[in-house]
Amino acid sequence: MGKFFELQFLTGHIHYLLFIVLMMTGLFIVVDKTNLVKKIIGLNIFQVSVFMFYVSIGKVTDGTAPIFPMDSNYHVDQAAMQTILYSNPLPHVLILTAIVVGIATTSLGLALIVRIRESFNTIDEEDILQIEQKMTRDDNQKYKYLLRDML
Amino acid sequence: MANIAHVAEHTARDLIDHLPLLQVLVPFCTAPVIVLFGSRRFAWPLAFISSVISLVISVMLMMIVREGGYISYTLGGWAPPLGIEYRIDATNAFVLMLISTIGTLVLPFAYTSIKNEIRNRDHTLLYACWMLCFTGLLGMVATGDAFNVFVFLEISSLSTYVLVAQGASKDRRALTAAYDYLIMGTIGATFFVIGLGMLYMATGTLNLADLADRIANQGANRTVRSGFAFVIVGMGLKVAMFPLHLWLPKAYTFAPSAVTVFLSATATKAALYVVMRFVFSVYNPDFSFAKNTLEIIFLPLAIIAMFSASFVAVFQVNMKKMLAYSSIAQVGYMLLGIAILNEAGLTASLLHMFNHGFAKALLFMGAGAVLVKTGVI
Repeated sequence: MGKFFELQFLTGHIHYLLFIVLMMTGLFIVVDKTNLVKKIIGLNIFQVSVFMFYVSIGKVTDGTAPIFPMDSNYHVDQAAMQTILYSNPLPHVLILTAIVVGIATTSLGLALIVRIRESFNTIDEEDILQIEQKMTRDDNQKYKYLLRDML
Repeated sequence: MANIAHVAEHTARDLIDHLPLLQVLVPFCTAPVIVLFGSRRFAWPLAFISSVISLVISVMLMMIVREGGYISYTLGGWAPPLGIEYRIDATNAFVLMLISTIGTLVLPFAYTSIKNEIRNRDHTLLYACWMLCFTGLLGMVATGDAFNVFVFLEISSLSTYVLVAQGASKDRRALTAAYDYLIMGTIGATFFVIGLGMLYMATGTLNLADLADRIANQGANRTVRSGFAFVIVGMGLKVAMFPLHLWLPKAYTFAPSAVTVFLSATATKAALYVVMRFVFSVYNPDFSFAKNTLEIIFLPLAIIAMFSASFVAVFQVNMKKMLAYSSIAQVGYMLLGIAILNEAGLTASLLHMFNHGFAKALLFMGAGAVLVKTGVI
């Protein structure tokens, strides 16, 4: 078994480590918090960690921003074109889509919370659970009576 | 026969060549048209017409690819590994046909059911969301690009959350059902994206056919393996694989009947198709980790789902909840077919997809009809 703790390996992969920390933080908030708004915040942190993961994998060592070398007179710099090393723009483009999806999800989630607050008068998951359990019990009672009447 | 990948000029194509795109585009364009018309009288007919058109298209696609081979459609004329490709083969066309048939059959039922269950002013937007959900499901199946699968998955999921929440006018628990589904669905979709990110890291491509080639060439490494795990867990949430099924009973019970019919018959099937694509096409069971995942994880979980969910279903008093639990059990049957890992198993799985799609749609329609007549189920 090789060296278990290798500093150079860790510093070289620091962005992955941070991604995992952020991702786990987000997931933990989603699972642990009972406040619905906090859950959405956790979900956001979770998603942002993935955005950062994507952006970091697009990085090419010594690569610059992927912009075509062209001046304001629309003259393409042929010499620069040969030598410039670009970072990979594709993950960034992909994540632009995912960011839009994330915003849509967040806004929909918050809209749902507003409606939940209106009809349940609380945004705490455990209170809602109690209300729902009571509703289910009432339903079951009702069905039982209905069934008895039918038979 | 219909390989049109080499054609760069758009003008040279006729309508038949554009079928794979039109399949997705027709319902997609219908959604904004419904909103723009803004009239409740036009919403349903527009939705129905566009569903019928996509049904016709899917049948035509099925006719073309029935004999084997595939249609490769390149969006915007960009060649496949770089551009987005729609790839229709026999499996694909079969699932497309299932989804569009169900979509068309459910709408006549939805007309009465939605009128009965939902406030009049929400009808227009509901049909627009319906069309978006339909688009997402068709797109997930039609596309040959891994990231496109995610985009369509989210289109269908986001509209599904809205559709489920519409049940709130009847029962407020629909709101929390939609919220739970939103949280779990988003976690699932994000896991799927992480998996795709890892696959992209390892291979540098997102085209499904290209991914399969490169993974087969370079063999398995840790990135590819963890990518597989993330993709399977993410899609497993959408499929309602046994321990990840928690969103399903509530969402199906409290959604409006017509929405439940549509979702139960199509949503899990489209996700299951994606799982099949990834297990058999992108990765293949020759890899020991893929084989082990199927044999050690899928197989026992599928069997547990078959028995436990059916067992729970028997004791439900609410008809829709009973059918929802039964859906989880049926997903277990389909996963078992995949996990058996041979041709017969996969055929059985696809066949059961079709059977369950229709059977469960009809059962939920029955429950919805009872609801329309009596007001309780």
